[in-house]
Amino acid sequence: MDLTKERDNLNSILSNLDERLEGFKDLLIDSVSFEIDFSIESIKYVELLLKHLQVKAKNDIELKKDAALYIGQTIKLNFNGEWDIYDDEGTEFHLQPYVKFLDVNHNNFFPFLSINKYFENPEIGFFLKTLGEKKKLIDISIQLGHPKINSIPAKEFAAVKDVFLELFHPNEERLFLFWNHIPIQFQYHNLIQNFDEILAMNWLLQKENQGKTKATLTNDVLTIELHLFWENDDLKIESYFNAIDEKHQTYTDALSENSIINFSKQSFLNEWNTLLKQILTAFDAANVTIVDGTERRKMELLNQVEQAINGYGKLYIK
Amino acid sequence: MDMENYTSNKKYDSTAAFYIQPGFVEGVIAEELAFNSIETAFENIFKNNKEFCVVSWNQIPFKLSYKEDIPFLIPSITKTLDLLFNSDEKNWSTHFYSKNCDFTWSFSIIDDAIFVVGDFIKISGNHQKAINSLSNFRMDINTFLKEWKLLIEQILSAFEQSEHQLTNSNDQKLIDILFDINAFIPSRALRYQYDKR
Repeated sequence: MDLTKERDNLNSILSNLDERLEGFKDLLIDSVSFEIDFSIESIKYVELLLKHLQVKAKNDIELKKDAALYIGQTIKLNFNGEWDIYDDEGTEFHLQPYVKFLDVNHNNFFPFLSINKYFENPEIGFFLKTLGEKKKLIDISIQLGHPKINSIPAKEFAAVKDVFLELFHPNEERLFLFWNHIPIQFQYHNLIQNFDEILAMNWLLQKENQGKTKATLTNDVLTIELHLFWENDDLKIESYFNAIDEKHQTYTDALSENSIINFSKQSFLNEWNTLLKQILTAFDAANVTIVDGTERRKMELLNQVEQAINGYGKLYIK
Repeated sequence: MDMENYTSNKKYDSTAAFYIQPGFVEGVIAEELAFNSIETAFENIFKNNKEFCVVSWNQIPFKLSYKEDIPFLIPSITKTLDLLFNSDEKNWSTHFYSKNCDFTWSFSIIDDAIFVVGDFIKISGNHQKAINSLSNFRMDINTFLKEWKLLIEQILSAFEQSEHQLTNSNDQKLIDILFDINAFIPSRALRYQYDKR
């Protein structure tokens, strides 16, 4: 089913919600003596109902749907939210109905998934707790530019980073790191400033099951300090965004709103690997030779890391 | 409007002020379908697109989705660029609205320069406050137009490849106007003119 059909389905259900919830309304009155009013308080009564009917409710698909719709609608109305269908093929949430919020301090709420989760530990206050404590669904992705590679005669370079100045024109398409949908632009020409940090970060992340490291990236308007802590696939990033000039302070303030994030380590590596692959392809096309032994080792490392990660960013996979 | 800023003789770095970097458009299939509106036609045309079109405004970028934004912005883009070519208007505003965007750009023309003031209510990423803190820029009109050319070419090329029909004559007229605008803009932004950089 595609996104449009799912949205149409959801809209159709929501447009007849009162009618649809008639039976659910009666059940609430009969079971917990509560008349639905879409108040925050009412969620507690739905939780009581589900707890009371636990085994029956767990297996009653229509009842679970009604409860999810009621809780979702109540949360939408009380927290200035909006129903939608989640659209991100790279996640388990893809095509799930959810409530999103204008207030970024609230996490997206997936009522249908939360209902199933509720039965694992049916405590009163579960849904509101989920709303406040669920890990934020932060989106991190990388969009490559499509830079033209300068044709340079086969040439020997002392250092890997020197190649970027020759290979890429300064007036060229940029690559973007989307930090929860806010783009941060990097010029290929200026990868000279960031390449060593990016390579070292990816090398360590893919190599160790557990660890911590730091990487600093810069562009024309800001610096980003990433402090990464990981165990298996759980990656926590504490980030510090600093504006280079005062006029871009509000931009780094916006980025800082999501300064601590939890993410899949493999997904993070896949995003960067798209760039590593592009760099390797460009170096190959230009027939670049690195003469310095230590620097040549970086090229070998780049090849190894790219192959070890063995996956690419979500914008570039089917 | 900060006219002192606008009328100074300072030379502005055009890409620092404003640039558009269109994304890669995934292969468009010739489906020969009929659509009532330009928006629904382009939602279908760009349905497989994954990359974003990124607009950079005083070095603060924001992204436009080909599925959720570009189809709904085409009428406003066309209106704005058409006014630049076919009108004596020196001051006007255009409202841009789509799923992830809600903003108004006010334009003023003085000699060969265009002055743009943005009032951003919503953009993807929710960093509208940051852009509003650097709300205006000035540019040479031709440079401004060139920034749009690759995106317009993409839109027109994708429409032709899809072989879709627009049953609403007003929307078909918008496409015709966009073809005219594209013909008027002599070349793409310099970074897309590989032989001239």
